[in-house]
Amino acid sequence: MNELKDIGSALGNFSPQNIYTVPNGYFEGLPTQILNRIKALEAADAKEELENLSPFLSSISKEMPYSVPVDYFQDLSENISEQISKHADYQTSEEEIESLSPLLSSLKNKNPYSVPAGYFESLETKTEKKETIVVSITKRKWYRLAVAAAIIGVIAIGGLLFIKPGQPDIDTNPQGWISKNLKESPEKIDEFVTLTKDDSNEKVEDETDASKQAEIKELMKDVPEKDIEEFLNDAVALESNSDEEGIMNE
Amino acid sequence: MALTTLSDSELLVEFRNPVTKEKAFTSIIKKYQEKLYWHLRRMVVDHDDANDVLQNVMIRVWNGLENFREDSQLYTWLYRVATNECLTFLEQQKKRSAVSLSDVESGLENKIKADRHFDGNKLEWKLQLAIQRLPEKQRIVFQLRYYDEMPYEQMSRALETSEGALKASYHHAVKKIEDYIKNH
Repeated sequence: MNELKDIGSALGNFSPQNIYTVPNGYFEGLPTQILNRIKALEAADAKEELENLSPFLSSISKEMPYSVPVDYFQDLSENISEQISKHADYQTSEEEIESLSPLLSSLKNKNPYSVPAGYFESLETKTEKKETIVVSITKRKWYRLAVAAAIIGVIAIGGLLFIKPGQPDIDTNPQGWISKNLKESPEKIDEFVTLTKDDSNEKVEDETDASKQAEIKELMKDVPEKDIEEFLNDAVALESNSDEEGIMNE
Repeated sequence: MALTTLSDSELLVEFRNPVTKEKAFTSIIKKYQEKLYWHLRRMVVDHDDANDVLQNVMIRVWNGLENFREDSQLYTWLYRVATNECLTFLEQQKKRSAVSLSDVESGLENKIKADRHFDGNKLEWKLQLAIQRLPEKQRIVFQLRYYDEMPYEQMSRALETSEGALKASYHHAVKKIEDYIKNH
């Protein structure tokens, strides 16, 4: 109020008054009313809801005080059907097909198919006599599962054998052997290296010996045999003298 | 099998078959006539008016049931048709008599009092007078919940209003009716 006066507002001259009225006992009853409303919202059905909202209303009979003409409901469906048939757009199914296609309407009752004499009479008897075979679903299902598993197993094993080739031969296919075993064990790699090294040296030595002999033969073809023998004897003598010196020096 | 024992889905199938359409329609009328009648009668009060509206409702059902999509129950759809037809009737009454809807409502109150069995001292008649004083849509909500005990979910589909709004409307209606009866 002082603030209003300070700013020079005319409202500062009025004392606050509440012009609105509240029904008697409103605030006293408000908590209960709200609680009942909450219970009504959480009610399981309409009856419980009404009991919480208004015990008074729930106590009043729901019987309608209005009267209804005698037999009104019995005749109602007939009256309504009559009303509908009087409607301008109404047609029975026969009238409808007649208006759409007179040809189809004329063919409606003409059945070209024939049925053996006494067929329907005997059908009922056959149906009654026929026994229903009951097959256990669980047993069949077990049997089928076992067969399916066996087939899958055979296919899987066959596939594995097809996809996974055997160990390649190290002699005939060394590169295949390397690519197969490279990841597997260093020992196998060492084994391979050793094998190939020995083999390759023997092969090289053999090749060298053969070529050397051919070369020597070519060079010595004009040298007399006597001179070759003398040379060989001198070489042996020299070799034995050097061996003795070696033994003496140890 | 007698059509009267069929479920709503089966009746719809029969209705869509040209051969059994009329029989199925008759079965539907017999199954729901009383519920729909009282729903309308409580709204319009007078029997002749209720009968007129009900017949209009059933003609609409005959014309529209073929295209019913079954996304709600048949019962819910029938109530929706009946409610709309009833509101249209009351609107037409207002236009015919060139008065406001509130005058139509007081006219309904007069119709209640004009009933030969009317007894103003009896609670059930006071209840009817109190109901007629409610706004139209609130009246419908109250009657569907109070008399038919229709679940809010179903009512929501029938009246195309949210469940929360329906609950609030019903709770307020109960309060108003209780106050009216206690004070008159």
